[in-house]
Amino acid sequence: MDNEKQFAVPGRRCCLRAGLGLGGALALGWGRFGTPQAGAAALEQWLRGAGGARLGDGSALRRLGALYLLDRPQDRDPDRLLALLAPRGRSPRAVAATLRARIARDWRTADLALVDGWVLARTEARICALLRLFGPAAA
Amino acid sequence: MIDDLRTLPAGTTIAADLCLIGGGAAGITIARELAGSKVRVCLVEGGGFEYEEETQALYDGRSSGAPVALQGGRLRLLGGSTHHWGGRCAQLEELDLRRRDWVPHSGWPLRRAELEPYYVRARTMAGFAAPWLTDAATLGALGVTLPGINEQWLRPFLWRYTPASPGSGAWDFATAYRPALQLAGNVQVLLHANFKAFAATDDRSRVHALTVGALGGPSATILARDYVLCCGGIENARLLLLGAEQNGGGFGNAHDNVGRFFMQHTRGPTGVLQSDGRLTRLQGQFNILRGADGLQTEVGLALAPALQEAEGLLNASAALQYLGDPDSGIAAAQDIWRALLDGHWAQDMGEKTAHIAADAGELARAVRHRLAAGHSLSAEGAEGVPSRSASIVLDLEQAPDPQSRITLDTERDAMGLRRVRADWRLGELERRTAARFTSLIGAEFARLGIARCRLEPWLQDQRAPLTDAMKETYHHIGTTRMADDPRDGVVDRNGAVHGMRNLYVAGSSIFPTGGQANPTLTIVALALRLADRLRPAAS
Repeated sequence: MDNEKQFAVPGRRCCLRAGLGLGGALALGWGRFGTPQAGAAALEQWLRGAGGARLGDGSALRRLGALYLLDRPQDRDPDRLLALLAPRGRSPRAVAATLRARIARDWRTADLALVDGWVLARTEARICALLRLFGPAAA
Repeated sequence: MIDDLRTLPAGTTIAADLCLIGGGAAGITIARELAGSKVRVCLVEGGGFEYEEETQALYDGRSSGAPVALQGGRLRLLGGSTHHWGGRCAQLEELDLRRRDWVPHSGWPLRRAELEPYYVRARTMAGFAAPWLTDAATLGALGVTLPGINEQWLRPFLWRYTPASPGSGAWDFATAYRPALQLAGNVQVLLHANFKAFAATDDRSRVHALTVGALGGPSATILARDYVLCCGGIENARLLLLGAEQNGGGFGNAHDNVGRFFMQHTRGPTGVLQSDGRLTRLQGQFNILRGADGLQTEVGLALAPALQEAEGLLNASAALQYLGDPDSGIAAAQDIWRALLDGHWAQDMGEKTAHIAADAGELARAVRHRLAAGHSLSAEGAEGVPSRSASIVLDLEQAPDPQSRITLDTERDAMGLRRVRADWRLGELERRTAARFTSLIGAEFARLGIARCRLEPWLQDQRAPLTDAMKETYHHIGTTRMADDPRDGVVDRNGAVHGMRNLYVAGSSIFPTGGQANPTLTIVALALRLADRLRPAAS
């Protein structure tokens, strides 16, 4: 796990903020994505707007995403991940509803990801990974 | 009648129908059960009424595996290790007794239903005046409605606490039953009578005599028809090993099983539940709650049998321990109160006063709660204090492992007997069970929108020894396990030592597996069962 040294480990408050941000994001819906980068930017912007100062710049989410990808290389394909989470052509309302349903299903079926000790729904972890892959830190 | 060996003439011989070796939960239960019968009972106890350093030191030994508190984890006085007991009662469940393909060496020779009538009697023996209600009725009586947990994975689990004996935190077997033992004409309790030697017949099929001795004092010989070892999960094995050594074999060790399969429940924090809001509602559900009868019930969670079976897990239970919120009004009030008791003002009085004002309702409730419970307002802990986080504390079953064992050490104690050596080993199944159980608790509380869960760092680090965080509970299990086939165990389904016609073992050492339940009630239940079998035989 030497690769972990590349990333700062998010703390409890960071992860709580991240969770809150995701929840807020899903509640608001997110923009229709034209390209993966645009989608990530929209998600980032949307996270900032949803969480304000509490969310910061979303680095906590990206750090969780980075740690998740270390243990889950099959989710490193950005196109697949984006297609899985936010297929093109879907309305923001539909994307949000789908993600909400997937997260609920993950909890019900125990499709979980343990990331830095946090118990995340698989879909939550994939959203974090998507931010890591397309967010500013990936550039 | 209660005697002290130190006051008897040297060389005294006592004749009895039944000799009980050890005055803890099992020994006292059998003696109490036979008090007033025609069976002449002699109960020998190494200690006295009170804790004595010199006597306790006889328990010293060596740990060569995970650390075992050989002295601190056991008590050598009348009442035995029940003096450590917090009175937390639970019963083994059906799956605990079944052979589980995913748990090597599992499976009792008894069915759970065979234990039930003895559990009912054991509850009375443990001080419960009224029959237990069902879990649902108990929760109803407590006014608790639990959230809709997925019971395919997790299920509510209830521990009942015994009433407390005067001066004790739990039911005190020694205090409760001392008068009955004192008055019984057919029972002789002999204190300060430490095991010295077993004498077996030439064919080693029967114990002929037991020699006991007081430290630096006289010895006595007990000639009985039957003998029962009731010395706890470590000492029972030690005395069988000593008996075999003293007599050139026998004592249930024909297949080298005595002392093997040494297990304990482990207990420790495995995760933290965290919420942005207060967990006030959860604190009223998963907690230690006091009923109208004054008795306490603890509500927690356990792994569902279906999941244990589906995923190949051990049994485990979880209790929540709430962590105080430093920004709450009651925490501020406690700070001010403690400072005043120390004769000065607390720091940041303005901020603390603001917290109190903002939290007046919760504060009033917490004060009422503590006053009703008779507890100090300044006491530490989250009792009645609103909390935003809770530690998940697991009680974990251990899988039987023949390499985890009790043997005799080369060093000798003050009685000249070889001390004990404990090589306690835990495996990966325990870690996997802890991680999966905690994750599922996290998933369920997240699904219900109550809190998010983070596993403790030790559980994420495969290299960290389990016992760094999960501590021993002093529930010593498995060293003289029950099995129908002598090749698989030390005693039969009735507690009779294989190959011996008049030697029995009582206590948690005969459990083939331990489940997750605190063992005392099962120890007492099995002791009652043995008493029923010994009554006609000894008469």
